[in-house]
Amino acid sequence: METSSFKPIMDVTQGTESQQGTGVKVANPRTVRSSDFLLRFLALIITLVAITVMAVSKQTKTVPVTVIPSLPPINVEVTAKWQYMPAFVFFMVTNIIACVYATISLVISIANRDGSSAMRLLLIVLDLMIMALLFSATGAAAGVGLIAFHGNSHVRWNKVCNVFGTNCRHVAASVVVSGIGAVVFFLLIVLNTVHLHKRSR
Amino acid sequence: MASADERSSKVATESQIASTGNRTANFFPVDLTLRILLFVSSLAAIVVMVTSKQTELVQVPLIPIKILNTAKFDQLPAFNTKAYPYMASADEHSRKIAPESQIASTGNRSANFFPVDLTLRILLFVSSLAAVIVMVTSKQTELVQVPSIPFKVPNTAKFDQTPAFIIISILASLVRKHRSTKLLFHFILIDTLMIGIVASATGTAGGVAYIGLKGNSHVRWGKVCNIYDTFCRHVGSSVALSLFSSILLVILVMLSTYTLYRRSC
Repeated sequence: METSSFKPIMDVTQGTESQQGTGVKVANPRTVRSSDFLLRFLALIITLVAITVMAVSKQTKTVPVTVIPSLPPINVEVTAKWQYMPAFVFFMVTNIIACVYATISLVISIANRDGSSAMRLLLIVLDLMIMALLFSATGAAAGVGLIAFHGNSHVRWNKVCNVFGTNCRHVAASVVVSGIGAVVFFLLIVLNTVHLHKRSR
Repeated sequence: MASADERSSKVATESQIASTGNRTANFFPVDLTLRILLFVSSLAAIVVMVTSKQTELVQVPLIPIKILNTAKFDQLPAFNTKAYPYMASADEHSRKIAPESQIASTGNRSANFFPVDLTLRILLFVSSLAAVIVMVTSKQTELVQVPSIPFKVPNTAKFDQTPAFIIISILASLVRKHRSTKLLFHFILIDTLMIGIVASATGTAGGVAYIGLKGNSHVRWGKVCNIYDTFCRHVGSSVALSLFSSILLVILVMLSTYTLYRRSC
């Protein structure tokens, strides 16, 4: 009974182990360490991809605008950039922070290969903050993106994704990738907590 | 019989821990206070949101048509999603308090963060409950000019958070079975999950609320907070309260992790 509730967590660890192909036992220090490196590297790559996709999402389009109904519409060039939307700026800044942190923590955890528990605790706490930030940034970008996609009649915000198709696809892809990055940080916390828990008995 | 054996063995290990690590820091008052604070603040947030309905007659020059327009939190999907995790977290934390008091009675071990933990959890409960209430009561009806056809707003406030309730209650009942480090470990996992949900909900609502406050000229989304002032205040305070709850959750996880760390070495 006691172990049954524990299964999913162990499965997570074993999944990363089988990817590594090294460890046999659960929470073997070496396996934990290598999955830790792997996950941190993954987080680095994923946040980098999210940043890149969002950064190249600029789109300029010519849109006919009717000023006076009797005159023919005037063509106006409109641009969609991530800098124009505060939620996307927050998203970018948070992803950059997460990317830089992933790099630094990778270096720290390689340097701290012997596995000092205090350093592990510090990394868990920092991972936690980055995870919360990343989740909220993903939520903010997703919320704004959803309004851009569907529009909202109650507050008369028109949808813009029918005009800026490419930009919207970039934003959506970036949000999804960043969400995966946040989940990777969550897995990192789970992994390190499992290790700490195993050691505590 | 088996459970009695288990308990006795657990008590034995606990007493071992207590004897070996004699670093008993009693944070009980702090924990309790934090939890009560959490409870009160979330309750307040929910109340504020629920009571925020406002109907006003707005004089709009030049344009003759005036319609009664209502701002409600469930008209914006970003605010609607926000209500769900809160109900869940509120329920979860109210349930969590019960098993913890059990531990307190049995466990006299090193790094006893129980009081701090309990206080934080109550605080969290209150702030999340308050956030829900503030969000729910944020309905505001205004007379607004509309260029074309006046539209009716359907009044459909759906509050079936049953799935979240069920999942959380199952988890809580699972948690109640295990004590000591295993319980701590489960708490860390659930709390971390909750951080993810609450933080993303806060981010979503905050992002949309910011557009409502400032508007965005690039995509021609007008600001709505000059019309629905009370509604915006309610939404804003709800977002602030949920931000507070997510910070509390982070602190809770930090405390639990630190306790686990103290026991691991």
